[in-house]
Amino acid sequence: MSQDTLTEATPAVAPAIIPDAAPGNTLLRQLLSRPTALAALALLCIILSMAVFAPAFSPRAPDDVDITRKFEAPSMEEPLGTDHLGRSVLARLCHGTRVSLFAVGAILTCIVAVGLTAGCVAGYAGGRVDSLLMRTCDVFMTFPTFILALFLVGVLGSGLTNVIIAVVCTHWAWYARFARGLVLGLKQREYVLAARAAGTRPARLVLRHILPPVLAQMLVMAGLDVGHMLLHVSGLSFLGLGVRPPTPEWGVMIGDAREYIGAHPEQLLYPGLMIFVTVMAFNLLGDALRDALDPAAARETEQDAACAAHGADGFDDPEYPSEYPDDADNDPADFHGAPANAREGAA
Amino acid sequence: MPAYILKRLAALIPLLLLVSVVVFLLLRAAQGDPAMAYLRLSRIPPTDEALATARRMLELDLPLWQQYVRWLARAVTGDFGNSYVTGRPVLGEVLHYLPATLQLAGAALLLTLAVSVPLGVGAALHRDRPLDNAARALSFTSVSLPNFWLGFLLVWLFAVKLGWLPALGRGGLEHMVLPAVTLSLMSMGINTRLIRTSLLENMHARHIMYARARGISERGVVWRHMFKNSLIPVLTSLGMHVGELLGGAVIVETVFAWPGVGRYAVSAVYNRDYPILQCFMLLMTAIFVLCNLAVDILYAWADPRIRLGEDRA
Repeated sequence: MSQDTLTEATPAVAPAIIPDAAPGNTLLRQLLSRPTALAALALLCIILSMAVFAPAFSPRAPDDVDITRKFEAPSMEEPLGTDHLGRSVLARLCHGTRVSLFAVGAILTCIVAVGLTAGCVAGYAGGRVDSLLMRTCDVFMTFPTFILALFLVGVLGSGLTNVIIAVVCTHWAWYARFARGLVLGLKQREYVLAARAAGTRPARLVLRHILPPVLAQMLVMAGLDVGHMLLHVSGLSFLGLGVRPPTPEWGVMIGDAREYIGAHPEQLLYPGLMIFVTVMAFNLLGDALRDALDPAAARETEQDAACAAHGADGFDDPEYPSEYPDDADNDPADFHGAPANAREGAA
Repeated sequence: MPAYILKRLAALIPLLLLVSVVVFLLLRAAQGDPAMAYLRLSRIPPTDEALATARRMLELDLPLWQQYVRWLARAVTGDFGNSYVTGRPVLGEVLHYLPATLQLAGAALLLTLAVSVPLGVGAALHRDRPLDNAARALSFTSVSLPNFWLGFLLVWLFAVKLGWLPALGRGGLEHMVLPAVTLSLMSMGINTRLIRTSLLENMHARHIMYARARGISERGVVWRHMFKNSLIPVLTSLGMHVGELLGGAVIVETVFAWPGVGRYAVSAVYNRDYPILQCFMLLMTAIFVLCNLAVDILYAWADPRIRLGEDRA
């Protein structure tokens, strides 16, 4: 109701809104105009089709052991040869794509869901709920991420599901904090205040007016993190803590191949190359997506991206004001005065 | 300044307590019945009597909060229990392997700084020239390379093919080259990019214009005014790199058979040696937190706006 009255009252704004009406369209056009994004998209299409049509690409089943055919050289039948158990390397690579993409997809879906819920509840409810949730986030952000993931897999036991749970547990706090910051900002925006004044119930207010923009931002963040998560999953698998042995996975393949590094280094090459190319393609696309959505901030956030891709700080949070006040640059004496004060303070 | 440090130290105590609660509870929630786990690993047949003895010995008959308090009281004095596998005190075992990890992580941190600072500054000063492109390529590749794969590539090239460096184990300086390079590459790339961005942002700041207007030499402007100010965000990121290096060490130590605490923790995961895992987790978190504290203190020293702001509050 409140939405309708607002739009009717301001018809002049309508033309300006039109690009927003089809954000997917312009976004896609923006992305396609960037050569790196185009290359990344093409690569991802190839990788995705490898996952979807894995059986079609595979000469044999990925767990078809034939010890008499171990370390076969590439041939027409086996384009990438066979591994130490005579299994088809190509089949294992293709099926490994499925495992990796599924794991990362599941992880990011869970993280976004948990982060979004926790962030919206904390940001909207405020007060005790907020401080309880944020202190929990603090605790989870205190651990070095990979070490916490290792610890969790250690206590939960190995296996893909537990790896997914572990990575979700180690990363949700950054998303929750980010979402909370966005909610706090949105709460003060005119359209939210207007809806509130019009008597919209809190649940509806959050679902209709706050959730969609927060979700959009978090999806961009998730896009930037795909590569990072993939490295986590394959790293844990490499340590032998991920998928169970017969299941093909890139990290497991590297772990299996390391004993044959002298005689058959190509066994290490293929799965590593797959991880590298996939992570790079997702990173390129994530960067391009962020730049396309926010071209003005693209230059400034270059450094944040490095941090965000890394699952570290660099998010704007109203409670943690920027350490760089805008007026810092305007005061030429600022830096010269600083060391003297610092020394006085230290003495 | 001492007041600031004390305040930051005091703020750490509740955080570390919460961390210990989380570690304790996670372990309790996930491992099922610790008495059963203990019996299985000690290869004692799980009779009712043996279970009851194990429960009493592990104090599982007490309420949970009492178990936690007792566990914490012992942990504070350095008693983390005995390893399920070797039966020796956990802290001694973990501390035995820690120096190798600290050596590796320290070398990687030094290498990160030694490469990223000159490269980042060079890239910013020669923007869009070959050096800048090389730096950009490095920072982009490094965040996409799985470190375990990179480790094997380096082993294959330098140990198997060329035979220049040893592939595995710990020994002289030559043993450290490959693991340290593998471990540091990601931080190197991120840090280079950070320094470059930070310098470029500072390049057009007014105090730089003012310094130029005063006729200070270009070198003085770059190093004294631009570089020093750009160090602040780099300093913050150092704390983050410590976490990455400690986590990365787990994998790199496994690749290079480096006898560090990370590799030991992985074997503890295989053996379900929970006390080792718990001690490892707490120790690494403590190191990470203390490094971040050190960074914060350096940060406050470098940027009085923070320290003075805190003091006034």
